[in-house]
Amino acid sequence: MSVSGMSSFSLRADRRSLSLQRGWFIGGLSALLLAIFALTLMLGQSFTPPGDVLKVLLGQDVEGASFAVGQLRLPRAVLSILAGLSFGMAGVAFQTMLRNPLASPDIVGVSSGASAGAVFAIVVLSLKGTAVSFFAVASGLGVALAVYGLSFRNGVAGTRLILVGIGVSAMLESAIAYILTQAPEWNLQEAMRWLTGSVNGAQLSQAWPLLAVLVVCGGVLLTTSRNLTALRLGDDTAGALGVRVSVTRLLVIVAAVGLIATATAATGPIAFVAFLSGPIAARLVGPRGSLLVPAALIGALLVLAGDYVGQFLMPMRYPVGVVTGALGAPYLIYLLVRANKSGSTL
Amino acid sequence: MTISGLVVEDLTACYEEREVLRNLSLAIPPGKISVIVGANASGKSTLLRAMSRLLAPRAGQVLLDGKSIHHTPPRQLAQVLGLLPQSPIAPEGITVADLVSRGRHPHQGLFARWTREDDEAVESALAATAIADLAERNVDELSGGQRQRVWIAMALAQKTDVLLLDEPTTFLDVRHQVEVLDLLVDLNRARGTTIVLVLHDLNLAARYADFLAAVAGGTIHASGTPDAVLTETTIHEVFGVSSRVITDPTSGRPMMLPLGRHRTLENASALGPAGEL
Amino acid sequence: MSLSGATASGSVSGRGGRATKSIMLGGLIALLVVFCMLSVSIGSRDVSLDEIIHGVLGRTDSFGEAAVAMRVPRTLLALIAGAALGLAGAVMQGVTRNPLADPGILGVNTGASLAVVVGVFWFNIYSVEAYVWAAIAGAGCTAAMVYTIGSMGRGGATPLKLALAGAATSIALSSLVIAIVLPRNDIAGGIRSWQIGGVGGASFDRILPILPFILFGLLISFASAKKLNSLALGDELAAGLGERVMLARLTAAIGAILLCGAATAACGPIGFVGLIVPHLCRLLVGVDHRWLLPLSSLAGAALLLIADIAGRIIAKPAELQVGVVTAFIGAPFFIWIVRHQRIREL
Repeated sequence: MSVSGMSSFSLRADRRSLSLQRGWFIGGLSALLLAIFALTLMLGQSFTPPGDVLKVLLGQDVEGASFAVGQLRLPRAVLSILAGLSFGMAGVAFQTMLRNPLASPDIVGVSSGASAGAVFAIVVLSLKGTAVSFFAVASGLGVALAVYGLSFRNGVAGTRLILVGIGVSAMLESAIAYILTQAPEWNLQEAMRWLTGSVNGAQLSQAWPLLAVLVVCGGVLLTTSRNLTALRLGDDTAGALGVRVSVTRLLVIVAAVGLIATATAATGPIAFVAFLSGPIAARLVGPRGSLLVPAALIGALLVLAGDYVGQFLMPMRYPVGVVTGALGAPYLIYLLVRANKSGSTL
Repeated sequence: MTISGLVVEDLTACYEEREVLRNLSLAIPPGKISVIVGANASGKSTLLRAMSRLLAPRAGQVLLDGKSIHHTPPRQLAQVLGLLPQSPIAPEGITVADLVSRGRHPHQGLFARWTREDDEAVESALAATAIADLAERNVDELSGGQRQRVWIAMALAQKTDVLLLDEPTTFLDVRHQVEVLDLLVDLNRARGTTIVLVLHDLNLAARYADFLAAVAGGTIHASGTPDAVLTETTIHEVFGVSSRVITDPTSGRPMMLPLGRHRTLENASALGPAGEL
Repeated sequence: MSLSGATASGSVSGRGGRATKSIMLGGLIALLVVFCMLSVSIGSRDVSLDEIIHGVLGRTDSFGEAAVAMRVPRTLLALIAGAALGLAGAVMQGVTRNPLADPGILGVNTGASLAVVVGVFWFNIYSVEAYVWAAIAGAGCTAAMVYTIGSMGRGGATPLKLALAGAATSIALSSLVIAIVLPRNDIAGGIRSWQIGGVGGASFDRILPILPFILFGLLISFASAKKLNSLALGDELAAGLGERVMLARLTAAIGAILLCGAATAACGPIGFVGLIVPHLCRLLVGVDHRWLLPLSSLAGAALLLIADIAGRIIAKPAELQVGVVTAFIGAPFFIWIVRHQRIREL
């Protein structure tokens, strides 16, 4: 048996079939995303035929549809997708870098940081609009850097980073809850947005900064994706393979935090999207190759579908954060069931 | 293939705030198998890590072919210097072929294009470690000995001139220990790779090393051929144990027999050089 | 063989002899008395010494006396809940051999709140006894769930994995709480009761029903002191010393759960007390649980009292919930622990 002959055949074929598989998945996910996008534009409180939807998208004025599609559904759907892409990609980047699927940015303090900044800006400083976004991004980045700095001791150990993040998150969460109780004329929608994430009242103007950050930070993440994948082998092995571990870590953190903070500034901390997208993508696409794009698509799906479900398929209108947050509990239980069977990590 | 001389000059290195190595100098002979030995916490691993650039020294430098490794871009360095660390982490669900392929990382640019050269490197690595038939298996399912061979294959796929290994045999049973060390000898003979490894078993070290260095007191206590280094005096100074050194009749290399308080024959000190009474 | 020298979690072993420890115990009790007096004297309304004395004795003739009379049950609740939480934390850290165990971090408090919320809104329970049973059930299930998830994969229940499992579970359950509370409560009220814990508005009929549970929890926990000392050496060694490991762990855990459940039922989720208090006490009396447990309960009571008093002073004339104050004290302390203790990797 010619060993090298056989394995060379299987190696290349193996790689080719893997690329094909990935291509199918990404294509399939994108198609699904597009389909649900179309659905949300057509079917809401009323049904708008596809022709009319198209006309509105092209800028024409259609009676009975322009408002519903153009002002209500479109901004909502666009924002959901952009936020979902950001959360999904940032989440899996963190989980890969820290080598732990439980170490997602919404658990280690980044989301709390951004929300705290936003809530503070709105309630205490009475700011609105872009100013709030800037505050959110600034405080998100600030918290991330503080967590990074606090866990720095002869380099950053993933463990310490996560634990410090959890501590900081707890502190910020109670601050947010407190500030919310102090806001007298707080209406339900706004409070929900900052406690658990919502795309109610979305405006298309919010989408542009989100898109810009997605392109820039997403781009940075995609270029480091090879080094990021190498980090899964452990800091030492990755270093031995020529990866600049600290630099890669820092880049990933800054880019991921940028994504999360900007998205949170627009929609609030949509619970668990960053946490779930990575593991779900890993289940579908397999452990090989970069999960950045698949997780981003899954994130977008989660938010888009979650919002739709929360609006129309529940006994009362729930913001998307409650729907996705509620998904977290069954997922954790699913982990338990798997634990009994295989006793392994996610 | 260039002759790669790895030279440590005046190295002072720390491990968790503690100064472990001080003014250590060592010249690793190119194209040979060198083994570093020493007591626990003597700094053997720290030395290896410093030599592989994983650890930044507080003072001194490490030179590869005359150039400081700290001023070489990591990717470039990884193409000529490989390291197998002590407890490498295999991601869940990764296959053998995939893991070994990771060894090509430093040779691939930003847009990882797989060339024929990459494929060949991986194949020959799989063949050299005799794990080609395990290529599709999950690394988690393999035995300790098999897994170690997979890691070595990954380091091999990197196709470096120098290979550093940190205690590659520590958790393996006797059979796999010997297998791994024999594999390294094959590699050294076939490709001329300079191999530096840390071993805690003195006798295996003496048997397989062309060059032996003993670390004690934060510096190199003795270095040279196994015959020169493995003497009763040196062993006592480095490890704090009394011993008898005889010639191993199976390999012709020195072999140390530790002398404890019990289970030592009355005339143990009367043993001749070949172990005869 | 005396186990008082065992260095379980890497902290300092027993300092001083029995005399020193007894003095510390006595000192703490004295401190508690002082805090109690402060607690009834301080508040939004300034009161005179006379009014304090009369108010404590139950006379409510003047506003001042009435104010004091209202502070008495509050002080009592803070005492009891603080003792319960401090003790529960010490027991949890002993059972899990984890310096980061705390009912808040492990999500146990959130689980308890969720159970109460479910009981109130779906099953229409309104007696405090029923609350407590629900809270205990919730706490128990959550503790089991978090522990199982945290134990999955390499290394078992390391501090990191346990903390992450707790954080993730906490977020998941918290979303469920919001989902249930949202339609039926005004936001501020909802947040106040179910997201942050507090002792405001305490009354004797709220406190009385939880007493039997607290008492039981106290007894079981104190009885487990010796077992916890053995467990600190590791399961195998403990079994070698003749301990029935599983039974010991279960009993101690039940004690802790009774305490958390009752405290959360009465006050809502208060975090970090169970984390900080055992660490501080370990610095004083070492790792012998026969001293550590009683000291932790006293210190917990003191901490909660001082946090409540601080909350009243800082936000005068309004007040800051105790849960917020403990989070702000607790988080930096948690971070300090993480930085200075050697936490096992993974």
